Amino acid sequence: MTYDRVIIGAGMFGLYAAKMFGRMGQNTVVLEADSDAMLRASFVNQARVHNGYHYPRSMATAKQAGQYFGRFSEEFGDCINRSFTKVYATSTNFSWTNAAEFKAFCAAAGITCEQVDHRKFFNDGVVDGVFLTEEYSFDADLIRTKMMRELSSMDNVQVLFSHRVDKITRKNSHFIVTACGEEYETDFVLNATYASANEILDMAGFDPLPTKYELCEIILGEPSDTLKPYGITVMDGPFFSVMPFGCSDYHSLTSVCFTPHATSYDKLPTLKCQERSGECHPGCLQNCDLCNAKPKSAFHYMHGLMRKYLKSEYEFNYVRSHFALKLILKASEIDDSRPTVIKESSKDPAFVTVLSGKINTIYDLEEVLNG
Amino acid sequence: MDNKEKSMVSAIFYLGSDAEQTYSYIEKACELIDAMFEHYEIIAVNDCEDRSAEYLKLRYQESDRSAPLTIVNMSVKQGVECAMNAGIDIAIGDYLFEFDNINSGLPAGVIMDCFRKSAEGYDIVTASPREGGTGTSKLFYRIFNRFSHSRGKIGTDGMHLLSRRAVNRLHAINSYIPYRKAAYAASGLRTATLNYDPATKFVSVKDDRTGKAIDALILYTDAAYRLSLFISLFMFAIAAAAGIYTLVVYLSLKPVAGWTTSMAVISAGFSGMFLLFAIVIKYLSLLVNLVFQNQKYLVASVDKVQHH
Repeated sequence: MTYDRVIIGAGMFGLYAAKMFGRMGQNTVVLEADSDAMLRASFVNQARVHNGYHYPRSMATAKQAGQYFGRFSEEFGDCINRSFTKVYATSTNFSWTNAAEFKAFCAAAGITCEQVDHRKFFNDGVVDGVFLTEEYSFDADLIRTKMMRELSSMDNVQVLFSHRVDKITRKNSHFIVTACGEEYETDFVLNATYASANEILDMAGFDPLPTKYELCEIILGEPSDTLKPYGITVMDGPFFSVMPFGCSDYHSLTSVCFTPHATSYDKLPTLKCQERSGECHPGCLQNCDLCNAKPKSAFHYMHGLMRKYLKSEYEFNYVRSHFALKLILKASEIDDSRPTVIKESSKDPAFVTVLSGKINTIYDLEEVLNG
Repeated sequence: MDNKEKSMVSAIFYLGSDAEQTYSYIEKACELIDAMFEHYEIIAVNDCEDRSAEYLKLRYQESDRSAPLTIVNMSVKQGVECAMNAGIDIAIGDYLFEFDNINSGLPAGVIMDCFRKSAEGYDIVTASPREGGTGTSKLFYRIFNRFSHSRGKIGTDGMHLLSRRAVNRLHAINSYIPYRKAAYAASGLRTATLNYDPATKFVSVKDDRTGKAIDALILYTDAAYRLSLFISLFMFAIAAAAGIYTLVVYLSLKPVAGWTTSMAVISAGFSGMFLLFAIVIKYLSLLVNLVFQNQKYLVASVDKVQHH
């Protein structure tokens, strides 16, 4: 079968690209290894609609996030939780920033930041600045439903689940992508697989991206009545974040130190748990959230960290954990930036890889799709 | 059935220069803590002992311990007090075990004994060797305890156990803790000391002991105050005696002798004044550190060693 566009990966970026291609009238197929869309990193994350606060060491990332914040909040307004107050705090110790710098950074980035007394939220001495900010939480389940509804109304877009790509070959001016024994011929492949980006690049014979991998745990729990109306993030360093998880009744709990359970610096993710899982290996990454070899929860450590900072009335009761493999560009460790990476490995036929750590930077895709 | 304690504890280690000995000490301590507690974390403070830190990181990754290991790498060597303060600040445990000295000769059972003692209502428990410490350190502790008004007495120690409440209290009292054991004794919280017979010879950590001793005596005792008071009174006595003598000379009509007395008073007065100035300047420098110095220590990076 021949398609104008073949997209590998039905995460947020893959689906959004399919929608854009569909609107352009291009015959598009999305090949997804899992049984449904957005089951990995698009779902297993803090669900934060970034407005730039999270990147005080990278003004470029902050401004980019700020620009897309309004647009995303409008387009996906029915999939977003705006009903909470977002609190950012700078830690007294071990932070790469401080209250004065954070305030100046927000002013420079043009984002809301109102300093308040720490005593309402935090124990004495643990933070040097507390700020009320504007940030939302997206609901991946609602976004999935919305996106799939929109795509199903397009005759020229097909989304095929349980279609793991197992071969990519080049034939003259086309790529032939093989999944489930079927061949999909195209002159434009979009690799939107995030954590599997290098796996797909490797399969197609292209150079990998310089990345590292982290097996991350997001904890969902029930917030106490006092915590419920707030999302709280302590930054910038080995701290934590507790905030509403989309439109659900749960809050997510994450921490810089304890959320990552394992790290791999290899070209393809090599993790100890793969030996236990059986099916998963560096060249064939499975869904960590469905895996039997998931690590033991780090809830006690994350909760301990949260308790050290927050007053006792801001409580969080464990419900369940989700796991996903995250990909971090090695260059982003110094400034903590999360730029969207768009790599064109081949021009004619086109082979483009796109990845980003933030959901609301999907608009960066326009550069590829309209180009 | 799992009878492990449910409290979350942090074990903070000051890395020594001997990589293998340091790892072996940490491994042994962790084995004991692992047997006692369900959840614990290990914090290793690397005060420019990079070889020990690297060795620990490698060996820990190879081990099957599930507790997270955090290595705090200090930017420049800042001494055991600063380094351990950094370790305490990053710790998240309900209880903190401080291991300053890998040559403390701490016997196996002492860690649990300290925790049990803490459960009796002591926020700070110190394990102290029955034998060990140098003659000068013993003299220092004697002077310190003589002039200190703290409830607890300080001495040579091998380990401290602190409750989270104690850590919070200490940070509320001072933003900067230049000498932890004196601060613990002065915290006003209930403290206890358990004595132990060292399993191996106790060897003190090499540090800026003289500077630390002077700081501690000035900050946590009234020794300096008493000394300055004594000097003031002594100078007053000299001045008074000189005055009487001058009067006597004046009355006996021998003015040449008056010139000698004046010179004596002036030189003695200036000597005393300069001595007082020295103490005042020391006080002021400490006050500047306590009030204005926001950065307590400089940390280069924090490494997290993960298991899964």
